[in-house]
Amino acid sequence: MHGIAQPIGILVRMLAVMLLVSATYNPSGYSYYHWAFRANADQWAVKSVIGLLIVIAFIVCVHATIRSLGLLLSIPLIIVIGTGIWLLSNWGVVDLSDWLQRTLVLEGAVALLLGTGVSFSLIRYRLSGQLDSRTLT
Amino acid sequence: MTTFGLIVRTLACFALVFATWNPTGHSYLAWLHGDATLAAKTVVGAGLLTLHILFIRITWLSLGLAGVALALAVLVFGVLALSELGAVDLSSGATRDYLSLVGVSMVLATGVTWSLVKRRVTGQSNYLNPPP
Repeated sequence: MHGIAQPIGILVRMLAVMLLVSATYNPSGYSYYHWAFRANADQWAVKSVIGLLIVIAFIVCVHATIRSLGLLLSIPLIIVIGTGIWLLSNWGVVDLSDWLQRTLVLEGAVALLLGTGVSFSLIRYRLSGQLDSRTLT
Repeated sequence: MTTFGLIVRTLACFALVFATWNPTGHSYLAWLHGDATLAAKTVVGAGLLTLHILFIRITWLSLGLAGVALALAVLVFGVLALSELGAVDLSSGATRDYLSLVGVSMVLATGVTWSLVKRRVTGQSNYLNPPP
């Protein structure tokens, strides 16, 4: 196969997951959460179908992450991301006592984890030639 | 799996569903009432039945019960949303017929393309062992 797991492809997947996470909730006040649960109660059917699509997108991302990383790799990755945030906080890059920065860092961490999970089967294939496949029958 | 391939597969699912039945009167089920020979009606019917079994089986294998249920839920709420936005009139019988046909076609198209889309996006492929 040609062009598997190029940096631009990984970046696009990361940005797509970032878009999904921040469209679901972000601190600016313009997100699905604010539109569906904090605004007026009209257009319930449109809100329901968008909500369903968001839930399906998250199911797809989480399922891909469980399948490609598994517990064996996702727990170490979560530790790496968590301690990385701790280090950034030590350096004074982020201020975790501030609600806005804490929320943004948390969303970035979720997007990084799910983005890695979505791309990891491709990365592993390029790294090692081990193809991730599953039987349906 | 290119965008062109995605469109072709989706159109094939629409062609299969709409060729079997649609409200315009030009479909296999309408043609059954015509004066063609029984052999012709039978062979076309068997061909359509084969294609339906193939597409439904592919969809069932790739999406599973949960996937089909989610796809149908999206369609039902999507139709309600379109009705809420004033894009469709659900009191019209022809509109309901066309929406049902489009819905079935969309579920089949999702099922047929799902494994390909997933392999392209995440690199995780599905296979059948033993082959059906």
